Formats: sequence, C-alpha cells, structure tokens
Amino acid sequence: MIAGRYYRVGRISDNATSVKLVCMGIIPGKVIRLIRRAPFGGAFYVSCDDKRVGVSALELSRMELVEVDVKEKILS
Amino acid sequence: MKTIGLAGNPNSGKTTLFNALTGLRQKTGNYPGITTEVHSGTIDLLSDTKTHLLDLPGAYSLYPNTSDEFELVKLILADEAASDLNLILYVADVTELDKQLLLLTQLLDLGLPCVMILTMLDKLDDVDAEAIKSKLEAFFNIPVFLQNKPGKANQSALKSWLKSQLDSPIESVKHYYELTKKEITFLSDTNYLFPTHNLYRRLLYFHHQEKTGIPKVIDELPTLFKSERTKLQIAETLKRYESLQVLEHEVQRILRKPVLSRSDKLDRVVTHPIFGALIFFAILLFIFQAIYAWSELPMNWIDQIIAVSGNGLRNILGETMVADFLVDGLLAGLGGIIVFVPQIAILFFLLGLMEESGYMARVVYMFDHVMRRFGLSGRSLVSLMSAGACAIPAVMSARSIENEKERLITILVSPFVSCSARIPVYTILIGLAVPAITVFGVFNLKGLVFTSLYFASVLAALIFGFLLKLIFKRKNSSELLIELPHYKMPQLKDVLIQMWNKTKSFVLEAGKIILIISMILWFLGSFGPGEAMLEAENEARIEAETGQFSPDERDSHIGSKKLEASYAGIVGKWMEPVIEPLGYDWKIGIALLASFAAREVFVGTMATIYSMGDNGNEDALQTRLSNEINQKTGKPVFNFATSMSLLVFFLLAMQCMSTLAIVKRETGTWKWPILQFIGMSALAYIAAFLVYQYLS
Repeated sequence: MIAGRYYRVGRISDNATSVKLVCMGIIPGKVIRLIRRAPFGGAFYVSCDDKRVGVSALELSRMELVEVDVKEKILS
Repeated sequence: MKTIGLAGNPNSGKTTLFNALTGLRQKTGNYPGITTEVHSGTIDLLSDTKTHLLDLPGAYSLYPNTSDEFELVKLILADEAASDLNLILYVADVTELDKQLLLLTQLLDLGLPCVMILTMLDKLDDVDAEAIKSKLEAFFNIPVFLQNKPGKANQSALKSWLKSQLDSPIESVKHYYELTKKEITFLSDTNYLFPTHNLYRRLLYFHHQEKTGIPKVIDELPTLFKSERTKLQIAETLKRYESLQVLEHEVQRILRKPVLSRSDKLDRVVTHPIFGALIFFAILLFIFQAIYAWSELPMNWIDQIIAVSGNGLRNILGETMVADFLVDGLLAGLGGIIVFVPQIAILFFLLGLMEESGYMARVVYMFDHVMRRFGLSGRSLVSLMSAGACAIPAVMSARSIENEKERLITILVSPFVSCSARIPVYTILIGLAVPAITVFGVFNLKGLVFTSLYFASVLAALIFGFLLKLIFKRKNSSELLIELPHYKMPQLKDVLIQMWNKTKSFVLEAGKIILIISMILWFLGSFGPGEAMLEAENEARIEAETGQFSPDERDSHIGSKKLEASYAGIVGKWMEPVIEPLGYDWKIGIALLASFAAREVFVGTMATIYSMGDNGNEDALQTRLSNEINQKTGKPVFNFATSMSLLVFFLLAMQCMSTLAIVKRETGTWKWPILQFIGMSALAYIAAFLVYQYLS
C-alpha cells in the first residue's frame, strides 16, 4: 500500500472494524485512494467517493486491495 | 406528551437541529433501558402542543462498535423506551446522502414511524434540492423536509410540518433487507421468546444478545450468532446498499459533487505529517495560554463575590454557629468549585470549536499510531486534553473508544494529567519552593517549573498507559477507523450550549461531593471531644495575654489551638507518623486528608489551619506558610524538600472523589476506581518519599 495510489476493494475480512468500514460505505467494488499517511508510519487518509476516513494500515492490510491506474478509476 | 426522537449518523447536523429547536430548554438525563445520558428537551409545536424531543446517540448503523453508538441500539431494542417514541425524525446531511441512508433502512425495517429531514442544503450550489426530496419520498414512501438556513420562518414551517407528521405518522410497509432462509428458519423457531412479530427486531436481539441480555431466557447464544455474527452483519449491510443503488445513482446525478473540496485543500496542510503536527502543538499552546489568560479576571470576580457574600452573611448573622456553618462550610465549599468554572468553561468552549469544525477527527487520525504505543488510541488524546481542565469529562469522553482495554487504560490514566484543580496547589507550593529568578535571560523559573509539572503529568499518563498495556493482555486489538468529516464553520450557539451543558455537569457532579466533604471538614474542624476545644481556647487566651499578642495574633493563635484540639487535629496527629517520612507535619496531614476529596480543598484547608480566615488570599497564605516553624526540629516546615515532596505528591495522587464516582459509573464496577485510588496514592507516596529523602 502506497500513499497517493488508487486501489479497488475486493474481499473484506469479517471483524467488528470491517462491519463499520462497510457501514461507512467502503464496500467491495469501490475504488479508494490512499491520499497520505499520518506521522511515524501511522494511519492512512483514505478517500472513497466523497467520504474521507482515517484507517489504520493493519485494517487496510486485512482487505483485499488491487491497485488500479487513474484512467480506470475515472472510468469507474 | 408525545415524543420525537432525532436519529442519524454522527456529523449529520442532528445536534445543531436539536439545539435550534430546544435552545436552552434541554436537559441531560438517563433514559429507560440505557445507561448513557441522552439530551432531551421540549418544543412548542403550533397550537401550543408541547412535544418531547430526544437527541438520540448518532450511529452509522445498528451494528456499531463503540459504546456511545451502541446506546442507540440499546434504546431502540428496549421495549419501554422504543414504545415511547411516537416519531423518529431522521436527520441526513445532503452532501453525504449516499452513506447516510443505511441506518434509515434499518429503522424502517423495524417498523418505526420515520420522517426525514435534509440538512446542510446551504452547502449545495445550484442543486435542485426539491428533486432530491421527490426521489427520496418516492423511494422510501416517507415525508421529507428540506432544512434551509436556520431562521424563524424555517423553524415555524418545520414545527408545523412536524405537528402534521405526529398527528398522522406513516408506517412503512416496504422492506429493504430480505432475511435469508437460514435467518428465517432460526427466527421462526423463537416465536415463544418474543412479544414482537417483527422478525428483523428479533434478529437484532440475537446480534446484540451478549450486550443487551435480550432475550433474557437464552443463556447461551446460538452458534449462528457466535461464529458468523460479523459475516451476517456485513452480508446484510451489502444487501442494503444493493437495494439503495438505484436511488444513489439518481441522487448523485443531481448532486454533481466537485472533484476536490475545500476540506481536501485544507487537509493538505492540516494533516500533513510535519505541518499538521506543528499546527496541533501550536493550537495546544494557544489553548493553555487562553485558559490562564482569559480566566484570571472572572476568577478574581468570583473570589471577591464569595468573600463579600461571606462578610455579608457574617454581618447579618453575627458570630454564630449558623454563620460559621454557612460561611466556613457551605460557602467555602461552593466557592472552591465555582472558582474553577471560568477555566473549565474556556477549555470546553475551545474543545467544542475543535470538535464542531471537524478538526478533532484530524487530531485523532494524526496521533492514533503514536498513542497506541502507550496502550491508548487516537481518541484518548481528546480525553487527555479534556483532563487538562477536569478528569470528569475526560473519563466520560472515553466512551467513543471502541476497544474496551484502550478505553479502560484511558480512563485509568486520564487523572494523571494536571487538571485545573491542581493549579492553586501548584501556585502555593512553587511559590514556597522555587525562587523568583530569571533563567537563560528570558524564562521565569517559577513559570518553567509550572510548565514542566504539566509535561511531567502527561509523561506519567503515557508511562502508566504503557505499563497497563503490558499488564492487560488484549483479546482483540482495535484498529483506527474514523470519519474525517468536511470542515465546517462551527455554530456558536451549538458550541455555547455544549459548553454550558458540560460545565453544568461538572459543577453538579463534582459540586455535590465537594460540598458534602467541605461540610464534614467544617464539622471535624469545629468540634472536638468533650471540653477539649474550650480548654484549648482558654489556654491560648492565657498564652496570648502572657505573650502580649496583638488582637490579630491572638485570634490566629486561638484558631490554631482550637483546630489542634478538634477531631480534625486528632486525625492529623494520628496520621503524622505515616507522613513524617515525606516531610509533613500533622497540619499538612489534615490538609492532605481533606484534599483526597478534591485537590483544591488543600489550599482552603491550609488557610483554615493557619487561621487565615476569610481574608486569606494565596499571597497571604504563602507568606504565612514560609514563616511556619516545625516545633520539633525548629526548622521551617515548608523548606525546599517538603515543598517539592508535596508537589510530587499532588502531581501523582488520585485526589478527587468525583472522578472516582464517574470512573465507577463508566466502568460499571467499584474494582477499577478502588485500584486506581490505591495505585495512584501508593505511587504518589513512594515518589514523594524518595524526593524528600533525596533533597533533605
């Protein structure tokens, strides 16, 4: 996972945080952008549609994320 | 009286609407079926119809993972509370509409009578809001109201609309989630357990059985809801999104959002790894400066009002027991609380601005990772900052922390952070121990020591957070997931109401206990066994006459001798052997014992012990203390070692009964407040002992 890149959400793990993630609209099929990272290797600043969320790197690593290029993102 | 519940996602504008409708006619209190406090108020709908309005806790769905969001679930599932709700006014932010409809579909599936209000319409430029309203009304088959900029005309239109909805609520018949065969089979077999025929309600009972205890006859949760609970919840949520997909596309077409919002541009700087951290520390510095600079004047006024009231009472009632009780017991206790109100109110106001603007969420995002190293979470930072004013709201704000262990550690370490009640104690003791000199050409040494005590208190909180992290073995570690809402200009009315409610809560919660303790102290200091007090007074009079004391010196001497003979003096002398290794005498012992009720009581008690009376301000007390000689050693009582030992004791000890009461309420057991009290007091004792022995 690299800040500044786009990823398509695939499978989501099943834990309490994932339920909240889904409830916030970050669901399989959506394209998210990891905009930046907090100091000292902290959480990622993630955008999904018009939503902005702070998500820990560990929680993101539990999701299946497939990198997409910007063109595909715009088409989606 | 009919009841309307305001429901919606966090940051949907729910509380702003609640404040606009109720103003200050709101109160905070417990509600049947739930443990948290819910804001409620009354509104006058047209034709003088009074209606009860509840600001229900915000949540993204009925599958929350924080205890404050979970309160909504508890309220909805508690039959008594849910049946009280005649109407649910669902508040949705139009700019985030696509993510805010999930909870609505769940409430509708429960068969609750819902209507919807769209907020933040002023954020949309050239958007046909009426078209969005029509789409929503057609899809959900519920009435929708457009909340334009707040104003009297809009409010009366809203009230009239609410009245008509209350008179004829529409029950939704459409379902947004079709239960799976597995769920239906299981739930059909549980008919005998429930009065409700709503299968979705039954499903929620089982999802939350462990926390709500409903249904009560089930001891062991069925395997389906143990092993597959989160899977079922995720699957249900995804199905709900599917059912909303068409509507979302249509709404998005109308909304046409900008690619890069103003919030995104601002966040490039505010959440920048370096600039963001610098901005945060600059804000922190400003907050502390503001608290002390802005509160000085109102605190002086309060001091003067209390002193004038005391003198007035004495003039009216004379030197009677009633006057002593009212002035030295009741008024002194009350003054001890009220004098901190300006500082606490300013901190709540500034924290309110940070929360309302959306900045606090950025702080949590920025520092979550760092805080986790100390067993805390990013949200703990909000608690630790609040603890700078008072530990009570700090402990309460830990409710938003998902992980129980992180929440508990936050609750346990927050009282380490120096609260405003320690300020008068620090002021007196620094005045005694630290010379008024300038170091490095610019810094006042007293100011430096004062600042370093604050840093030391935060450091203590972090160190103990780290130790507790090692002690508590976590079953499930939580991970940060926080919404970063769009920045918005804080509504002054909302911030002021929030400040008012929290300050009021502090005064009432802490006030009750401090008042009782002050009165007990007054009793212990005013009475003694048998004729001991009278004998002490006579003895002091003879000594004063022999020594040719001035009238002031004589009164001071009599007061001091009477105190020594009182119950308080007996207790102080009884504990002297325990506190002697820390450098304290029995007089300090009494003040120390009293300050276990609340730290700020220390200064007042010292003023009483040293007979400063009503005219005893901090400067006079400081002079009196610095002249005090230990009768055993013949040396000053408040030497450098004793003062530093006391400073360290106050830095680390758990001396606030109100906080302990709140910790009990928040953890649901006496175990944690008792351990917290013993642990912090033992630590304070050992640290103060080491400091005194090293310095003396």
